[in-house]
Amino acid sequence: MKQNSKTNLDEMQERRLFQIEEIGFWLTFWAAAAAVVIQAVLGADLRQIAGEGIVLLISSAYLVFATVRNGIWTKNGLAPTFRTNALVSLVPAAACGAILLIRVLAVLKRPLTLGVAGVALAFAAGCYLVCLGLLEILRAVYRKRRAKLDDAEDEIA
Amino acid sequence: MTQKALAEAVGVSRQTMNAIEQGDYNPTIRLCRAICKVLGKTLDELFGEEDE
Repeated sequence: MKQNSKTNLDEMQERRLFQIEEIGFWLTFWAAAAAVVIQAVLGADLRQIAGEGIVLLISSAYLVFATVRNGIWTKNGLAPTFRTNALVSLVPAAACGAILLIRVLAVLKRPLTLGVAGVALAFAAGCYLVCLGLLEILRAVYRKRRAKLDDAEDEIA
Repeated sequence: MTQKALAEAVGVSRQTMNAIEQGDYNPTIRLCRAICKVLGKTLDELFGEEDE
């Protein structure tokens, strides 16, 4: 049995390397996400967080495209349903609203008024709708892809 | 036969062969077959479930 001709690793070493690379990827991803959030809270403008933002966008787009193409939704058992999407969308929406509120209060030194809270709430609601809309589009594409992959047309008789 | 010799015969590292023996790594069917061929055993003899 030959080792992979592209590398000098055997199958177990390759699998371990994949695991190491996976951890490395997620460390980078969440470090970049944390950097964006911290900078946004501290008052950085869009130009200052553009670098990390672009890295996050590219890696997220790749992840979404590759997983949906392979008929994978999540690995933690979250079902692809409207209810799950509606609940999951609350997380980024709350985060966006909180970041905006902290930024306005701490960086712009505005007092907490009903107007400020309303703007933060409206921003969070907007983020919620965008997230939910995107997740629902992805869910539809995923279902279509899943149906195609589960189709037995390529089965050898 | 030593782990090193078997590992060399099937083209993997001794570390991988040791992990298979310890049950820390599940080899692919391709590697299982290569090990069986070198040892002159069947898949069932080497990797089959033992009766309770």
